[in-house]
Amino acid sequence: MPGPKTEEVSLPAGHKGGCIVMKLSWKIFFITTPLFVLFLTLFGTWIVQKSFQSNLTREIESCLMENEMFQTSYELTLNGMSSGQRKKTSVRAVVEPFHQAMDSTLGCARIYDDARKVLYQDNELTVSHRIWEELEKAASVQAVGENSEDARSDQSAGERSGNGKTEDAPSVQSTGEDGGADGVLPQSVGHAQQTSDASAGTYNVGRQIVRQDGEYYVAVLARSSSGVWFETLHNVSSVFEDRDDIYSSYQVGMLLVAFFSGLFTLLALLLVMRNTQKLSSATRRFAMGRYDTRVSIRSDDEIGRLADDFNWMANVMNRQMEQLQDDVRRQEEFTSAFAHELKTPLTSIIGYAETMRSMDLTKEESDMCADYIYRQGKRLQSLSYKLLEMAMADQYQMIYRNVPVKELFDEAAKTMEMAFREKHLVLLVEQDDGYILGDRVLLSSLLFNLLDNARKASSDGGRIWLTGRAMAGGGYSITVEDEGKGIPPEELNRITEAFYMVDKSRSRKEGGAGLGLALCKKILELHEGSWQMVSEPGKGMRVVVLLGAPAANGNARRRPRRARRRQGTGGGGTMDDPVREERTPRSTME
Amino acid sequence: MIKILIVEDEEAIANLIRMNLVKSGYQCEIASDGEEAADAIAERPFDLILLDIMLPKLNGYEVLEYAKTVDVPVIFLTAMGETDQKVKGLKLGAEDYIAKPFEIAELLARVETVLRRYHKTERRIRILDIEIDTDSRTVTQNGREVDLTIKEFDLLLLFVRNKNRALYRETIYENVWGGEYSGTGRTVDLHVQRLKKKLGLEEHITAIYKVGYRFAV
Repeated sequence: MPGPKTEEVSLPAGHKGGCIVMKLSWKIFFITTPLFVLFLTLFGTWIVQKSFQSNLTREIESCLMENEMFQTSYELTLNGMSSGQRKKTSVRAVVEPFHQAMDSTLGCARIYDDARKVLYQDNELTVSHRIWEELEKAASVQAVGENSEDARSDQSAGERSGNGKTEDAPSVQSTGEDGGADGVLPQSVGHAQQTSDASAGTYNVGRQIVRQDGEYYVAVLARSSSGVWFETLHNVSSVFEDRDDIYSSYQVGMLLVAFFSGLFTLLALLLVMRNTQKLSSATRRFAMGRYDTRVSIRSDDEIGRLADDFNWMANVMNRQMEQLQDDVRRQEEFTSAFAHELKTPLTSIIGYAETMRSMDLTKEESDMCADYIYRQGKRLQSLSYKLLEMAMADQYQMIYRNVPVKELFDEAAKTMEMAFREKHLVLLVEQDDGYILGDRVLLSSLLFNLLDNARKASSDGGRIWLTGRAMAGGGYSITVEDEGKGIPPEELNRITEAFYMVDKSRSRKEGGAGLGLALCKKILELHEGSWQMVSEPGKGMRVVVLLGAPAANGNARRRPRRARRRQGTGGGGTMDDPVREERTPRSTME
Repeated sequence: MIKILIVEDEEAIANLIRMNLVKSGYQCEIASDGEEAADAIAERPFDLILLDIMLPKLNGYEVLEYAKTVDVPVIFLTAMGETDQKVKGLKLGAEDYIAKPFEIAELLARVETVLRRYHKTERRIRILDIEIDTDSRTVTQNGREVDLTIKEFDLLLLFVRNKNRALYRETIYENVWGGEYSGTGRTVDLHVQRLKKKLGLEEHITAIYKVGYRFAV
């Protein structure tokens, strides 16, 4: 018979190249790294922007303060003068003394009147801004009664500086009125102050960040109570430069961090995936039929546990497979032995019969043929009865009762008498009084088969002992011992296999089919008994059978068996020999 | 005379084979286990060995290995009948195999075939006034060639090889035509009649009532 068929199952697609490992780690790598970079970028940008904003705000505030200080200084100086003095004094004269004393960092200061005419400027630097318009707009909004806030003006100006759109188109506004710098002080200061207070309130300060010639300026324009506009400019490029510096170094750092973290992730993934690859290739090897494949991954993580599970599964499967193979092997051996046992007598019977019918034979020859046919027929009969018995034992409904050992022994001795006499064997029976709990028919069969085996093994005139001993624990032991040729120790564990014969030709001559001990084993299994075989080649063999204790009340007890007992099943191999046909095991059944 | 060694541990089968081979004119010897067979092969020359596989001591395959060293054709006798056993035997160098249970006529035919392949048998068979050339498949009677069909020639060979043996119609049919004999056709009878007529064997080939024919010499 061919071995167990291995079904052809193709490998799952994608497993063939072994590149699935790379795929998964690269996948994870390509997903995580950009996400990481994106997150770092967003976070970094936010942080840098935040700090930039706060720096800028601080700068702006200081600019506002500067403007206010300038204003205050101007007002104070002006207030210190008499009105006559005011008329004579130019704006420059008013400003210059304190302006010079003031912080030299003040980038640029300019003073306008309401007509936007420059009254004073300390620097030629001019930046274009739209604070005027913003302030006018805010004022007009207020004028139509809308409730607007200073913050809005501030904010919109801030926004404008923030988005940098207006910064991008710097245009140097030439006032063309340099002379105006030395203009006369406006006369209607008081009036202007009043209107300013009345109409604008807090809408007299505006600021804007302006970009011009690559430099950033904060322009602050405020209308003082004296009715002139103060414009101060302050260079804040350093804040922007700082931001850009931080940005670029942050980008370098971020790229480095992203690179190393990506590398680390990839390495870690490859390490994990190497384990999964190990598992995967082990699984493939296992599937290809190398069932001794095991994985060694020493790790407590999920992969390690998966590997342990794999090994566990492999062990379990191995065990089951071995058992299955064992079963198959045994089945094959049984089949092949059975075929041999069946075909040999059939061949003889058919062959001799054919010879007889097609040839003119002498009386002697035809007698010989007839004898062979008869004996081989008997052999077939014995085989079929034994097989039948074996099959029946499987579905036999046992009747449990306490069987008196003496009756059992007497019956066995009587049954064997003729067969033993033929070989001049002496049977020595000795037993303790007692009972065995079991099925009488099967027990008879057991005893008969054991004695028959002893008979077959014995040479002419040998002795056979049949001894029964009541055990201390309530059980009963039966010993069958002979002086026959014995069995080599290495074959002892095989003799209960069906059709196994230690000496085939001899067993054949004695009419054995090689099933006796297999049947005994089955009967013992049904009785939950045990046995022991001791043998020394050339000196004989001893079989000790241990059977359970009898039931205390001695009543018949039925054990549920799979099927009903059938008529005449308990023959115990009685048809082996013409002599034994006299035995009537059925008489023991009730 | 052709000598055949029968290696078979079942006495009944060994005797059966020997009885029939001897009746067919071969000389036979029986070995009942592997060692005995090996001894016999070593000591005496044989023309053919019939070899059982399940043998005590040395199994059939081992004996086959041994037999190959002295160049003796081997036919396996196998009870297993399973394909791989046959294949194994044939691969190891057996000439043929016979599965138990076998028919005597089949055994004889296979023995004859293997022997012929090894040129152990006479190419020409002379019987009565007939001469049969098994190679060129020609038949001459008293020096005159007789024209026979393929089936008639096979039938003649079967009768000659089984002379003095009753051949059942089914045996004849299975050996000459092959396949299962239905038991109703008149094919066998028709061919036997024609063969008898062509060779003038009316006296020698006799019908046996309800059985078949016998070629008696």
